[in-house]
Amino acid sequence: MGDKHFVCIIGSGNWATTIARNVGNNAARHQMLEPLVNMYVYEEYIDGRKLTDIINTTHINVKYMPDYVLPPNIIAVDDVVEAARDADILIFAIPPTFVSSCCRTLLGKVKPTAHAVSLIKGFERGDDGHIILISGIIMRQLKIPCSVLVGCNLAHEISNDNYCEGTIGCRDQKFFRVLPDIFKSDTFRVVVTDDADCVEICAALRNIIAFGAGCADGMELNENTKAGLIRRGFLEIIQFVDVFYPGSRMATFFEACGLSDLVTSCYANRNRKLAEAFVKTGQPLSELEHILIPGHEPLGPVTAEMVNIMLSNKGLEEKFPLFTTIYKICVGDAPLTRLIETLRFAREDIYHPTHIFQL
Amino acid sequence: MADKVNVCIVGSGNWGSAIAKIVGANAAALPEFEERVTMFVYEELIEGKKLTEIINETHENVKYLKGHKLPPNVVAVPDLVEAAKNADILIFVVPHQFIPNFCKQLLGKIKPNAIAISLIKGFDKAEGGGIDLISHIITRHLKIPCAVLMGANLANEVAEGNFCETTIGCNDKKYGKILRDLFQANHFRVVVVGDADAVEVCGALKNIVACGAGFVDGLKLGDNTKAAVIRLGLMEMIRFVDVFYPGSKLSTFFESCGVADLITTCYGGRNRRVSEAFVTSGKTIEELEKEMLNGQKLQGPPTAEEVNYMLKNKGLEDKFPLFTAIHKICTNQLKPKDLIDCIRNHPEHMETSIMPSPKL
Repeated sequence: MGDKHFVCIIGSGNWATTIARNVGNNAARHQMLEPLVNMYVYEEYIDGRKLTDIINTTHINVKYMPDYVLPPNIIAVDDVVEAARDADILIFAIPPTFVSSCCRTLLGKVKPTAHAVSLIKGFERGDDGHIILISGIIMRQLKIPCSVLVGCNLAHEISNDNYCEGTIGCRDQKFFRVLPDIFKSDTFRVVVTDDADCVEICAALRNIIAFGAGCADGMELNENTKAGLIRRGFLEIIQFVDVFYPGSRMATFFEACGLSDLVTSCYANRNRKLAEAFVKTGQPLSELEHILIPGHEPLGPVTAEMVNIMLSNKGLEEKFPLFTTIYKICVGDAPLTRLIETLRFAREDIYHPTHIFQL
Repeated sequence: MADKVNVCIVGSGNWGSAIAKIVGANAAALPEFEERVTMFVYEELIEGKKLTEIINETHENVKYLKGHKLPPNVVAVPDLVEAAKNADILIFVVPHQFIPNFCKQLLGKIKPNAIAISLIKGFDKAEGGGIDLISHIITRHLKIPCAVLMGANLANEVAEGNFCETTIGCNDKKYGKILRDLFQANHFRVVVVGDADAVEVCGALKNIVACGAGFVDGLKLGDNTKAAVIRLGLMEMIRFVDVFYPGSKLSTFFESCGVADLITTCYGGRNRRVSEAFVTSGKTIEELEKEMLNGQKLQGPPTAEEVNYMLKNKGLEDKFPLFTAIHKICTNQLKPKDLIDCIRNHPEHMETSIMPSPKL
């Protein structure tokens, strides 16, 4: 590794472009970072002009963020291998479905000492139906460590400079200090933890709870019931991580990736909106998702299904009553009213019984 | 305690009447309780008729919980001592400013082995400044143990029979079961924890955070910012309890009184609503209390003030930037938009990074 880290951003969508501004500004003045930052842009023609040319001359990604000026040290490159070849830090911000093919292209072409950071929301389905974390795919395919940045689910709020927080789950001590310096800004605070699995899985599991919260909204249950649901969901997320990713830390759930993300999703998220419509219209999910969230996969039902497979393989469905109920509601195996019954009858001692009296 | 446990509800407001529905039904159904539950009602005349008489005849508290029938075994009593003298469990659910006076009236007139449970959200100003918990005041005056019940519970929703959870904080294990049985209902789920102070303090501190959430809404800063305020608010609540009420448990914050109540209050409560208007209208808190709450007092700003006093005394204002900023905004020492600057360099961002914390 040279004296200064080369940074490369792989991706040029909404989220990639948003974060490119922070990365560009930080790289320009950070003593450990090379000022020029490559951004791999999938080449398209906009009004007869190449998108990379437009970005490199006007510094505006007219396709995805037309109102947003990038720093001039962000260089759009249309070839992923060329963009990534010299990079010490590879930031992945592409849709989850492209990760595998992108990694295959890059295999053997990146520095063996490079470090990846995944900003990708979502996960893949394993052959056994289990959740596979995106960072795991990148690590397995590229054979380099992969950290994750999670915690801001609304790109436009960062781009508007609203105050936001994010969490980095870092898999290499060497990058502990530099990673937050790459992403942060005055309005985007970033905290680093070494609890990377926990950070990433939190971001997936919250989709289930957001879907449940949307069902509660659709049923017009009151605020207290919804808060009870979020609380129970928070407990099941912690419990799930404890079972499937042992060694995680309690403190991680209190970071942005945990509580704040969960709350945001339960009040303002596509899954929530989808679930609300699902309840109110009675239409099947497959129809609604095309109308309400075109181009996006509804992560709630998918996550619920994979989590259910993982739980039933271990015979743990009953220990996770809320996850299980939400899954059953998604697939039509349980009536909506089961949601309240679950909150009502869920055993209280499934999680950390120490503080509860044996009555 | 006698063979059958006598219960008295001190208070007949909105929340008192809602809880009387549950308590009355449980007292009638469960063998361990005396069926007759007394409810102290501050006597008022409603269209020329005494409120106690209306309640005892129609079983409806027409003034504070119109449209809901109380169980017939709940008996309204206009005299405080009369209502409380035989009680083994005293449920306090009156505005907190009445508590010292009520306790004075009751001193020496109640059973010496009675226990109290406070449903009062709020606190009193300690002599010289700082927070005095209501349950502590009751215990100090009446020399009986006092538990607390707090949670994400809006009185009208509880009365409607909508599902809610709640937390009872009870330091003495042996009262846990009887208290849970008294309050538990199909739609009202009770968890008992042994951490009464933390439960009660949560009920007060969340109102400060709700003001912060309201400012964010007023400034139209969006959901991520609001979630950040809620998260940092919870961190400061935990830290505050750790400093001022040591020995509390982290798990208590996962109960309804903690996370759940905080979230509801930050999205639905009136502290949030008035704080939002504080930003958008530019009026003072007092003016807004008159306009929006019929002159009722908001709990967030005075709580922020007393908490600030306690923090200042220990030189800890810097460690609680959110609580501190909210207090300063309420008292016009800062502008609402400065809130973000104050939390941007929150110590949570500095200290939790890199520092390992215990594993699950």
